[in-house]
This record gives sequence, structure tokens and C-alpha cells, in this order.
Amino acid sequence: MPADRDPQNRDPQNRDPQTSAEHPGKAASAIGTDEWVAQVEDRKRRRSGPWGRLADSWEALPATWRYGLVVALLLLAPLATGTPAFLELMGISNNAFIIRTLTRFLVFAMLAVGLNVVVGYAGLLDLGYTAFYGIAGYLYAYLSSSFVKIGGLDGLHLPSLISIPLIIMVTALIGWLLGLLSLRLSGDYLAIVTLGFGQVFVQLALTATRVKLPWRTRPVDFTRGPNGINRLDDISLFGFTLHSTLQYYYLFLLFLILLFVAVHRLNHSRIGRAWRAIREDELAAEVMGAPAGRLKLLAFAIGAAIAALAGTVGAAWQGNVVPVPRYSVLTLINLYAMVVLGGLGSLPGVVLGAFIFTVLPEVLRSIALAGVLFYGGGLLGLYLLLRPWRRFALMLAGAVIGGLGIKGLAHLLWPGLDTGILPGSSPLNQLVRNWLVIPVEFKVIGNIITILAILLTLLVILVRRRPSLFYPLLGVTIYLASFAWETRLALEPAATRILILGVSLVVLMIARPQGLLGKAEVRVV
Amino acid sequence: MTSFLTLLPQTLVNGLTLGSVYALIALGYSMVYGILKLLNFAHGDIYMIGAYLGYGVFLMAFAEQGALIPTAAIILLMLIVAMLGAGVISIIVERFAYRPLRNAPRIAPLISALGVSFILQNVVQITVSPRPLSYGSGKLIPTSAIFELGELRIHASRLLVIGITLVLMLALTYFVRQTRLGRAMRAVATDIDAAAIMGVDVNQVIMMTFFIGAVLAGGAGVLVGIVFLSIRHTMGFLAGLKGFTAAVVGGIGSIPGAALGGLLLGMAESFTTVYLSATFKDVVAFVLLVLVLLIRPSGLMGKPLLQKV
Repeated sequence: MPADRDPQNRDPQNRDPQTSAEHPGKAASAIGTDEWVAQVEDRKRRRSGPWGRLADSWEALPATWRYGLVVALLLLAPLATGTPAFLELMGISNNAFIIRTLTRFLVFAMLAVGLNVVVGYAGLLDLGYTAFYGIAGYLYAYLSSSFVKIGGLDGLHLPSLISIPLIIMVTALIGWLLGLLSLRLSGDYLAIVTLGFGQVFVQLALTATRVKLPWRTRPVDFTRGPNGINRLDDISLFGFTLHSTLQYYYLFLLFLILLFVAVHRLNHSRIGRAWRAIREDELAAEVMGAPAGRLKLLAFAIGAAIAALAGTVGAAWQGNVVPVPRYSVLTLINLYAMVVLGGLGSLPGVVLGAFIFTVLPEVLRSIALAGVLFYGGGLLGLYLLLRPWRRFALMLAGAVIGGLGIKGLAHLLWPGLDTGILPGSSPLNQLVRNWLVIPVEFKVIGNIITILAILLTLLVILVRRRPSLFYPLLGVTIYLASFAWETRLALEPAATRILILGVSLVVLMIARPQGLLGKAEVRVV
Repeated sequence: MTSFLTLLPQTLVNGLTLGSVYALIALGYSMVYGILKLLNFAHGDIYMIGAYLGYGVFLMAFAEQGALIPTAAIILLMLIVAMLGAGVISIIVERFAYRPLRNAPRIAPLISALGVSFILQNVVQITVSPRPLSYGSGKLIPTSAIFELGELRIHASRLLVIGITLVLMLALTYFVRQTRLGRAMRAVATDIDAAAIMGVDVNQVIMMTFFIGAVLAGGAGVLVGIVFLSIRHTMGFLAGLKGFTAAVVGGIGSIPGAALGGLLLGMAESFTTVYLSATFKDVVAFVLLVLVLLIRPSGLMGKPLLQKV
């Protein structure tokens, strides 16, 4: 892997030769207290706690090892999740679902790497990116299914070795053409025009079912509308035809690794440096001789080509193309969330983002797991918020005792109140319900409490510097939030999933606007 | 050709109605963008919240046997509650999701806005209903309330939309041109740092901008409910997109531009639906956008951007 030259990686030896020279273990020439002063930067960078130590030791590994480990994990993942021990642990009968999720992750990772070229490197806000993904999917459908019936031919059924490169080239050309707009428009205007392009594509895919052509008497169906085109050919390379998801998984993994290396090398070439230059300051870059126009077109074309690769092989794997939701704005938002969450401009970051955003929603699909995540995340958040830990313990004890008190009072004063029966009976549910008062009409009350809990949470954030208000309010919020979770959120998994995604997006942007593995932007004022 | 002429007045009225709604949404986008350069993707969902708040008032005002107070008062109450409620929610959103990100890279508030959009939609879906709700056909304005002008038949609800939009726009123009706060707003839009140095409370002005934009969008939500009857928790997304398109076509940051863009977009959609095909109406909106931007990159009434070096 050429990754050791990656400027994104935090390997201390590569990143900052000066401070590592002053490292106490290496520098015997340390002089008195100045040694301590000299290490300030080093110490600041070191993170505390078990997670911080883990992250530090991870980053201390050579880059080849780190990438090798990740690749090895991905290679072994389908096998490991198929072992009886793992299946029993998860309580599932086979790992087909897990492999499907992982394969989808690989498709999204390829897309994210491509989007990273356009948005992360060249800094062009391209909101029409999913259209290239879709165009490639439809092109593959035309070339490799029985859909196109011309002159008695039952579809074209081109071999994959011809169709895939052809589609990539055509899509890249379309990307180049869309890029022409970017020469005239800048920033947000480009964003909205490309968004329009993406919308037009989806609308046409949905509606171009009865198009009248001048030389044909009957209207032609180009897309089969919302149903899409199905029964696409499997990919067939060198006489070997892929059948199972597992085979696609390994093919995609290979593609992703190749893409990763290629894009990494591109980023460290003259072109990559020039992209970053026009991203930071187009005018200055042009003055220095970077051909901004051509570079932008190139970024668009390369982004489109990578999206086309993902679109083609993705469509072949799925066996069909459907316009909504696969090629719609929802996917676009998801992709942007991945790329920004992972860290714009950081290749490992965007792949990590893709992993989080494909796997997390699947985990949240299971209500028991979502509950563990909700309460676990809540407790972890409180633990981090309330330091030292005694405060956290006091708060927790207060909330528990207060809740039990409320429940006891309710039983004394109004025996009929706490008689609601909630669905779901995991051990965690049972535990929490010993503490909450559940009325019969829990749904109606739960709706109100849900909104109240959200507002209270925001209020708690506002009064965080006033202990006399903060702690009582926090206790009430914990109780109401648990109530809202049990009575409403846990019962609406589909909506709650996206709700949690939304909350995590906002929180992450506030906590780390540059994304998980991205580097903070350096601003010249 | 006769069919073209007979359909024309109706198409114009439909376009005007639709355009009014787009213009109201576009104004919020445009004002916020003018000050913060932020694409507030949650703005469409604020409009949706307005429609749902109006629905809440509608439910309370109608008992089994009919309206409890005159329908005109109900409509007024719906508008007021929706506008104020949407405004307050927008202020909360600004305070918690955008203000901490004011100095972050440009894309961070964008993603945060998407997150807010997810949150608003799904909270409504969970706590109210995932199904479309109806303002009740003929309950607020009887279906027979139609004005006839020769061939043209205009339902009273459409006149109401156009009238209220006009009132709101005039009020906004007065506010921005004549009041102290309006002047502060223009100052902040011109140069945020200079305004701060001159003693303008920037945070307050930004808060007011979000509030006013949301008030207009909340009103638009109720008006849409009254004309098209059905409301849904996902209605904000496409409407927001259209509103933003209208703002860009008109020239983002310009208030008359937003109104013009909204009207133009409404007309374009209405004409496409009648004379071409309803399925192409969304495509036409974006074709219009691309054409306008290619000819005038800063929109119809926007000032050309000067690049500061």
C-alpha cells in the first residue's frame, strides 16, 4: 500500500518529525524542565481514557499493517459471521443478511470514494452524483437484459468485459458535460443545478414510459416507470459467471481496494495537488498556472466514472434497477452524510462513513438492539457529561429513586393508572418498565411526552451552567425520555431509525464539523 | 387552438396560486441565504410543521356538530398559530443546530440542516400520523364558493391564497424597508462583520430572520392545506426544493426576486401540467432553473457576485 505517504494519517513519525524528535524515549538530550514544555504539543495530541489509548496504539501501527488488518477483516467477515458461535450469539439462523449488508456497504464505499473526489478533493458541491449511479444502472440494464428488443433480438446481452468499460466511458462523458456547467456556475448555484439534474433523471426514469418517437407509431417505454427493469444478467468475467452474493462481495472488495489505491495515488499526483489548490482558492490556483477549468471537468468525469462502476456492478448484483429510492435524493443524502461524517477529503474516513451508515441502520432495525443502543448511548453520554463519575452515579441513583417514587405514589393515589401493557419483552424492557408508570392510553400520552422530552433535552443544554436548574431538569428529562422511548419510539422502528440518524448528524456536525477522520480546516483570516 | 385559449385563464389562476406558495417558501430561503450563505434544507419541513399546526387548530375548532366559531375566524386562527409556531420552532432549530456551526466549514451546517429535516419529519410521523391528513373538503370554505367570470371559475380558496400572500409580502417589504430591525437585517446581509462593529446585535438579527422566514413558510403550509386539502409529513421536501429553486431563479438574497421566481415557477408548472403532461412538471422546473442560471448566473434580480480577493 502506498498509504504511508498519506498526509491524512496520524502516524506521528510521518506527521511531525520535530515533535517526535523531542519525544522523551528518543531524545536523551532533554534539558531539565524544558523537556516538559517541549512535549506540550505531543501531550495535547495524546488522548486519555481507554478509547484514547486504543486509538493511539492503532495509529502507532505502520500504515501497511493498518490497511492490511482492515482488508483481512473484510476478507474474513463473511466466514466469521457464518460460524455457528456467531449465529447463536446474534440469534439468527444464517448470515445471508449480514453478507448482503456488507455487500451494500462495499457499493456505497465505492460511491463514497467517487464522491470524495468531486466534493472532497476538487471542492465541487455536486448534488447530481446519484444520477450517474442511476444512469450507469440503466445503461447496464439496456445492455445486459432482455429489455431492448430491436430487430427480433431478445435483448443485447453484451458480455461484461465489453459492457462495463463502455458504460463507464459513456457515464464519464455525461459527467464531463455536466461539468461544463461548473465552469460558469460556482458554489451553491452549481449545487442547485446539479441537484436539478439528479431530479430530472429520477423523474424521467419514473415517467418516460410512453414516449412518442416520430419514426415509431406506438409510444416507446424507456424505463418501465417505478417498477424499473429487472432480470439483469449476472456479471461474467473470463468465463466465470457470478451467482451468489458472496461472490459479488469478494469482487466488490477487489474493486474497492483497486479504487482506493488508484484514487489515493491520484490525490498525491500533480492533479490531486492542483485540485486541492483550486478547492482552497480558485483564483490563486489559476494565477499559479493550474488550469482550473480542465481540472474541474476532470473531477466531474472521474467522479462520474467511479459512480458508474458502482452503478453497473451494483445493478448486476441486485439484478434490477428501480428509480426510487435507489437513485433518489434519499440515497444522495445518505452518501453525503457518509462522506461528511467520515471526513471530506480523507479516503479511510469516507469508507468508514459508508460502513457506519450502511450497518448502523440495519442494527437499529432490531428493536432489542436499538434499545440497547438508546439506553447504552444515553448512559455513555451522561457518563461523559457528568464528571467526576460520582456525579454521574448520584444522578443515576436520583433518577432511579425518583422514578420508583413516582411509580409508588401512582400506585397509592390512583391504582388504575399504571396498568398499560406494552408490546415487546426483552430483559431490558422489563427492567426499564419496573421504573416507569405506563398508563392504559400510553400512545396518546407518549406522543405528548415525546415532544416534551425533546424540548426538555434542549432546555437542559441551555441551562447546563446552572446546577440548581440543570440537575433536577436532567433527572426529569431522563425519566421522560425513557418513557417516550418505551411508549412511542421503540414501537415505530422505521421512523425512529431515521430520527436517530438525524440527531446523530446534527450532534456530530457540532462536535466534529470536519468529520471523524477528516482534518480541521485551516483558515487564513 | 380554441382549447388553448379556453384553458388559459384557468391555467393562469392555478399558476398564480402555486406560485404564491412557492414565493412564500422562497422568501425564507432567500433571507437566510442572504445573511448566512446557508442552504437551510430544513426550511421545507418548517413549512410542513406549519401545515400540521394549522391542522391541530382545525381539529380543535370543529366539534361533531360543526364549526364552533365562524370559519373566517378559524382560518385566521390557523394561520396565526401556524405562523407563530413555525417561527418558534425555526428559532429553536437555529439556536441548536446552526448557531454552533456558524464558523464551521460550509458543508457542516448543510449536513446539520439535513439532520434537522430528518428529525422534524420523523417526529411528526411518530407523534401525529404517518398517513396523509385532510383539512376536510368544503369544511372551511364551502365547495360552492366559486366566482365566475365568463369561462373562468375561481374557487374562493385560491383567491384567499393569493390575497394572503399579497398581504404578507407587503408586510415583509414594509418591515425590511422601514423598521429598525429591517434595516439591521439589511446591514447584516451586506456585511456581517461591519454590522457587528456598528453595534448591530447579529445573533438577534439572525434569529429574527429565521423567525420571519418560518412565519411565511408556516403560513404557506396552512394555505396549501386549505387549497389542496391533503397534508403529509413528507410534503416539505419537494416543496422546499421548489422554494429554493424559485429563490435561485429570482436571484438569491433578493426579496422581490424570490417573489418573482416563485411566480415564474408556479406558472411554468401550471402551464406544463395543462399543455404538456403532469409528469413533466418537476422536470420543467429544473430546466427553467438551468436556463436562467446559464443566462444570468446570479438569478433574475440578483446582483452579480463580486469576488473579493
